[in-house]
Amino acid sequence: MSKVRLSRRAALGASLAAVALPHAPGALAQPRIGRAAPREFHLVLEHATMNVTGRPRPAMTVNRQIPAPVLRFREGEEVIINVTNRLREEASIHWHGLILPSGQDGVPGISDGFQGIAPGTTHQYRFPLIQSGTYWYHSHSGLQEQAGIYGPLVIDPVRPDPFGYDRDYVIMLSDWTDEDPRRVLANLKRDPGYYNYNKRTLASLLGELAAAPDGAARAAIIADRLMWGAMRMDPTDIEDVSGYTYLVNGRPPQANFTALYRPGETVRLRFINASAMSHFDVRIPGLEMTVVQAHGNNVRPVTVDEFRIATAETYDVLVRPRDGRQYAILAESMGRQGFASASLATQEGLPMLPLPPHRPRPVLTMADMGGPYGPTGLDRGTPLPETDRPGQVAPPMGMDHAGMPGMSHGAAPPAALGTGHAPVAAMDHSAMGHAAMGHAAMGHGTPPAPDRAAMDHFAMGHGGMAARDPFTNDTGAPPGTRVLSYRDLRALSSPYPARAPDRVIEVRLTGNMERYIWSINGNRFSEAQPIVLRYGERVRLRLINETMMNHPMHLHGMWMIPQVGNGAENPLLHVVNIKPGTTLDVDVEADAEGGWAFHCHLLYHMETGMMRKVEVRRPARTASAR
Amino acid sequence: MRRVAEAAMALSFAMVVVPPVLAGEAAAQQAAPPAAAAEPHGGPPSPAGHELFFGAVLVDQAEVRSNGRGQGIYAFRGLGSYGTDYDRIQLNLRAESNEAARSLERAELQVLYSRLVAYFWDLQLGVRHDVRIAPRGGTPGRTYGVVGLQGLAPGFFHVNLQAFLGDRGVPLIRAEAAYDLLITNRLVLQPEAELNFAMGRDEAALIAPGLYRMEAGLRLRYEITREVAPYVGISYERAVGGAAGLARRLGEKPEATAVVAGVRLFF
Repeated sequence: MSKVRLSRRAALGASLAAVALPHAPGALAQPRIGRAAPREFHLVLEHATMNVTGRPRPAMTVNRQIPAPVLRFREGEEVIINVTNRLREEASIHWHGLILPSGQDGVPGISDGFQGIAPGTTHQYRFPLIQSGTYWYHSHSGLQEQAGIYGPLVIDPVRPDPFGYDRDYVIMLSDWTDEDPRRVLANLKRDPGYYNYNKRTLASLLGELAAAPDGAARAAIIADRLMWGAMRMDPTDIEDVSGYTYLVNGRPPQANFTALYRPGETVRLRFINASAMSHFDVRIPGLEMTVVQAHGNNVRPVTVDEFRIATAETYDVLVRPRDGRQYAILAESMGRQGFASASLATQEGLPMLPLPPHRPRPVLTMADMGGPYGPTGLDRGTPLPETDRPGQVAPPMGMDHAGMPGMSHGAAPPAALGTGHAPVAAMDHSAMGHAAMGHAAMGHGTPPAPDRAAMDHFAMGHGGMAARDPFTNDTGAPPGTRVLSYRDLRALSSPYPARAPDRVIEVRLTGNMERYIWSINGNRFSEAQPIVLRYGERVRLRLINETMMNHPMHLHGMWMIPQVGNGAENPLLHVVNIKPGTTLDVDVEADAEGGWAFHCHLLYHMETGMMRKVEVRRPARTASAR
Repeated sequence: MRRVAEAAMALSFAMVVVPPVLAGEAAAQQAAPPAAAAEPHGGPPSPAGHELFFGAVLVDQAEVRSNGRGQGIYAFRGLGSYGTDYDRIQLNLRAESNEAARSLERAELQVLYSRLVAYFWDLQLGVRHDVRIAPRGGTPGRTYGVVGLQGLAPGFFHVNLQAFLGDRGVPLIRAEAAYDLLITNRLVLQPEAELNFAMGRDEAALIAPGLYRMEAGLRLRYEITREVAPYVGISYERAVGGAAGLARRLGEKPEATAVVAGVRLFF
């Protein structure tokens, strides 16, 4: 774990700080039978000083470490977790991805009866574990997660997983900033482009023009610039925050966290993206990875070379290094600002392998615009009618694609969706001259033919502009690279029968990029009504990303089943990343009564309003009949 | 002076307490009584659900202007704002020293209530006060009511349109526009222009009907950080039409071009 230098204030409490080990550490990894006393764990939240970049900076820790200790539970047992808040502010712990009673979910003001943990007090969580897999836990108060309150949570299954492995490592990715997270938010509010030093400039324009092959290409470049200017949008806005150091299990790349292996062994790597604001493209050059679990749920094994892990997602992969070499586990931030890096080696203490050059930084294209924007007229799930608030929804851009030089072939027929990325590639090339262009999405192998029923809404209402494929992850990998997409995820088992949804709820992801306001259906959390579901119904959330950023949407308490075209094998996820300008249908079986948070897991998007309360209510008649 | 400033503050705070019509309309659009929304699993709203308050200070110009003769002129133009996404208090301040007397030639303070009314636009209401510092020099004190629209026009032009209704009954209109041309990500060329129009005559304030005053500037800044950006540039200002005559009568040149050097601050 990383070195955490305690502040004098925190050191006073250090001797009292408990360790998160259970009181019976030698307990067998077997399910308990009968009414055994629940195991008890202790977590203490404290202020501390952390030195990641050479400057000691204030941080928040759990049991004096970042990340927080691994909580290792067993499926079927009941646990008690005492969380002591020694911070000077209210705090909370949320168990990310766990299926548990609303009152134990840990979101102040949303979870039933939970109002946060006041400074100086201890809150007791108690819940049974009815699932297994890789999850995590983190603060759900303010910006504490960015300051260090996050840790891994692993639940061992009752029945062994349907795959074997010899070793097992948590690879927890996170983003550390030396700035006070509140300062970061204030900076974004006064200038949403505050952290972006990769904007298009006159210098980059001249470079592009010089590199353009002919007059038509130069005209297209100029037209593209003018169009973005006319829209008042920034195509280089990929990640909101910069200045991050990316960590693996709390360690920066040069500290080289090392997962050990013996040649021929199978190693299970439990990837958890605990970052506040970062998506990562993960690869281990020289090794293929077999994804066996997504978001804690076993999936049909799929072998890939790379995968993109959105903020708050988890993926478990198996690797089989045979030759005793040192391998670099690389997680490159989506905006190409840095790497989180660790090693897979046969011994500890080796220096890190040199980092490869960054892949080209993505640049948004017209395909990321999606559109046209605006309410689709579907049910929004709110008790009372709801309308968009002024200033939270981007105005119609009035784009005339046919009139843009080089843009006309962007209007590919929706039939091109069969391969998904054909229109994307066409659009990319039309913008010509960008270093980031051209690689397109070719890296993806041969995705299975999409389920037409699940795809039909892509063609809906897009006015002749081909919708962007919501699944393909364009990581800039060389052609032939196998990159994971949600389409590749096939649930090994599902507690839910495949059935048609009872209703469709419109969930437009909206926001004001100039003011750093984020919202759902044009209403910030502070002013929004809850989305109310009837207990037992199956709803289809139609997630429509009207913004130009990715939004990893997280629903607490219930699984989300994205309609990726795999029918009864559609995966069960706790976070679904919605790419810019795309629409994705996600089914939810409303089988958990109470109040649940539903939000974008980019921390500053949530904090500025992209969040809703989802309430699952038992219909009155059913309740009285009981 | 102090009384006017106090009155201005009182007025703008009053506008915050009693939001103007637009705020009411936006609220009415939303048919959801919060009580009903929070009903079954109620309790107090989540801490994350509270409105967030933010402030910012932008000193766009803090500079010395020189035309190569005599002492330079010191000029300042800046704003500060504080509030929520929708409702903010904004203070605009501009001041310019006098070349001859070492006092203020012009100073103008605006206290505005600012309301986000559209994706790129704020509607602003408030008070402007032009300060007379020297008893005999400079322009006289004036107080105006202000209605303005501030935002970002297509093409990324920062635009500020303001209408003033003065205590002397002379309505004024001011149109400002600026553009940040990024040469690199830190080297920024900022052209800006301002046009002032009047619907009447106010001789003491050098105001004549029609376009009476224009300003233009071109500043090249280097953003060491977002907070601190030193710059050099040129500025040009000119009294136009009848106002040029008024200036000449006071023995002032109607036109001035200067080389400027200063620092832009943003906190």
